[in-house]
Amino acid sequence: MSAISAFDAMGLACTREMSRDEVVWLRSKAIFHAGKVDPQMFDGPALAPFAMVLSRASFTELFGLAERAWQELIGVESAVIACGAAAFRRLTVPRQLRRQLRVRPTGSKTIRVARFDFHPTASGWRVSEINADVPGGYIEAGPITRLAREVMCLERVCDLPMDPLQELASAVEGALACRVDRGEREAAGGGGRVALLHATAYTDDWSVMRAVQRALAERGIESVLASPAHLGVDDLRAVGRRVTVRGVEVSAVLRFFPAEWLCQLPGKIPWREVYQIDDLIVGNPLEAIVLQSKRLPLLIEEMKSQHRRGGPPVKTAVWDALLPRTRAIGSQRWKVSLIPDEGWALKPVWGRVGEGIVIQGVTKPRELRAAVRSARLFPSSWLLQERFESRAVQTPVGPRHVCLGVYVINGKAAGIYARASEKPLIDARAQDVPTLIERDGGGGEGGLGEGQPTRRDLGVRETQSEPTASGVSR
Amino acid sequence: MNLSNEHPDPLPNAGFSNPYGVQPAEKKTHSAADDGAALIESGVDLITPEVIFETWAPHGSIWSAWAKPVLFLQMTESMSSERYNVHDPALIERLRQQVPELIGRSGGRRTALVFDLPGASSIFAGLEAARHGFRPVPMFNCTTGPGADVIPIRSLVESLRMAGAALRAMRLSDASPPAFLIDSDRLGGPDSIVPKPLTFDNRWIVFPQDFPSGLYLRRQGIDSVLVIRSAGSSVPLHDLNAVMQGWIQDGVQVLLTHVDVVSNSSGKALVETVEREGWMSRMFTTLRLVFHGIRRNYSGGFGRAIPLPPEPGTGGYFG
Repeated sequence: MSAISAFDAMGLACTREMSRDEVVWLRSKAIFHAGKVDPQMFDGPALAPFAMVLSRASFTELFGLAERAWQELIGVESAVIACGAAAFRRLTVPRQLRRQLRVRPTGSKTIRVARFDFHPTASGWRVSEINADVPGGYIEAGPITRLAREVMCLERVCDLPMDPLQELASAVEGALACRVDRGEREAAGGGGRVALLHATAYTDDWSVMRAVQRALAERGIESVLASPAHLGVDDLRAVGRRVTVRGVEVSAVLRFFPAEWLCQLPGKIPWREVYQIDDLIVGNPLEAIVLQSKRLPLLIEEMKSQHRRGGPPVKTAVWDALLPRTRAIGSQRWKVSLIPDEGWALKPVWGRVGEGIVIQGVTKPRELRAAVRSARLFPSSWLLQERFESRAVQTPVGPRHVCLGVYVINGKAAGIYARASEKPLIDARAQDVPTLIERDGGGGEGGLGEGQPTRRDLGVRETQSEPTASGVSR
Repeated sequence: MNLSNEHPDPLPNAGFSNPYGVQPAEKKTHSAADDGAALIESGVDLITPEVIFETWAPHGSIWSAWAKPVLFLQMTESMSSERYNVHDPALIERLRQQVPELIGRSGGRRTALVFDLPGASSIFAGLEAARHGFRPVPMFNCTTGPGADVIPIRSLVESLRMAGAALRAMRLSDASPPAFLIDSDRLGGPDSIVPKPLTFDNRWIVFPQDFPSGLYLRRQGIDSVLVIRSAGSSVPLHDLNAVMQGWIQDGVQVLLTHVDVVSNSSGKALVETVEREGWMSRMFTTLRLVFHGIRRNYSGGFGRAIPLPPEPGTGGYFG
């Protein structure tokens, strides 16, 4: 028996199924070392009892596609913002945010984090969506993946992809260092302190920011967990306006609080002022909502039509090739079958982690009817996306449909967060799957055999992997 | 592969000397006062948060998967080293009188319990249920943050730590039916402070995905759930109601009763059957929630906005 199976046509392979002891160990470490607070979802464990391995060729391909798609989309984002209010309305950006997007500061340093959700299909890799505002999954993609490799003794066979937590911390460190280089740190204040904004009523959001806090602390960067209600803006005549959290100045604001939720905050919370301050480091900035809207492909189509009539060019060749066709509900609203056939999925414009997506023949009839009813009532909040034929991966627990979320931080691919589901729909019931990279020289079938030493033989150790230039860690 | 030596659990149940004076479930010879004194006066702590969590959620029990680790993650050294008095002999005595009586009126091993009581009362009620063969499953899902917390969690943390030691001394079967423990003050109670800017809003709600589904319960031979609330409290909060309705839809009978955690109760508490909500009731609930700025999420729970408006007229927000 090999440690990992043979790679399929998409360059995906799986490890063996973990033993019960390994599952128990990984769960405990995931909670108490990695900080995962939601190890159970519904009736099953959140973590899959196996890991996936991505061939080096597929890894290179996916990371390349994500970076190229990001380059295109960041251009689209600028074009959309230049278009102004009409474009924001098309994307159904909340009214309170539209003005903010038009008056964005020019001097702020932004950290951009996004995650492209790739799916293996019969016709190659396809992307179901981009999470450009508050992508999650850092804990699973980083520390838990490292723990999974350790518990299964795969250090000799597989490399680790980059840890998005470390990459994010590195980006923050770089942004803060830039200010020091420019001699602005003292003048700007904040002491290099970072505010980690999140929805405090959600413990899983808290756990993500707590993990970011630990990653920042490893680099000597002070941070503070906060809700948007803790934000303040001090207007100091000598040095201008400063952002505070509970009265303490901060230099940067990292947000794990969806931009569209900010609009629900009471008027006295100064989030608008915060995002207008020139020298604040922000991640993600509010304009991330432009790429987060699932209606973006519809707008891109319109922009391309305008280009044909003499408007500015819009280049999205990679993105267009990856994303399935998207249709507005439009007149479909009045038809008996709002979803034309099983070839289309109904998606909410502001959905996340697959929430609200319904597919005929996959989703329970009751949920399907509720979504269709909502789409008829609020057609601009929904859209239709052409389905792709997800190619199931053979795992030790049976065939699974998988989604590989590739992080892009400041334009560079920065890790993988994979999920797997029995049905061809990745939603909150999908399991998190640690994803490793084939080691140079091959780690496929015939790699690590039964005779290899177990973790117990090797003894417990907390491995700190060294990142390499190729985007993986050993 | 056996990793047992590497698990963070160095304390096997077998041969555990019983420093808390708590006897195994089958020997009900102790008094509640023994419990209380032992909980407070014992100098023996469980060693690490991992061990305490393992005590509440042992690997062998299928219900352990639903135990929430958040509070255990926050059992920092500083918090553990400080003595914080969670000992309330009167409360423990009241629970000792009332919980067995309620359990006797339930369906025994075919019934799961949900203790939706204020603060640490749920923990001690769960401990009492453990004496009668139930596996207490802590499902407290709140955090602490900078500044004053809206919901005080320190007593919960300390109670889990101390009651955990008593729980460890019991011999609970892996097949024990579950007793889920939640805090009825999760959206605010008498000890809570008014959420406002600069307080840390750690209010929390339960979601259907936090509990086993009704179908799962039935597969485990459990066909009814007894929800136990504090006497005098109104109907269950909307979040727990969503969970209960899901169970009913899956064919599980849901019963509701009360214990008196404030005074010594006289007479038997009524046990009423919770009915499936009609469409009018569901619509009314949805409209009420929409009015409060709360939207139903995809899984039937409620989320995406703070459960309660912080101040009249300001709409919902997270903290």
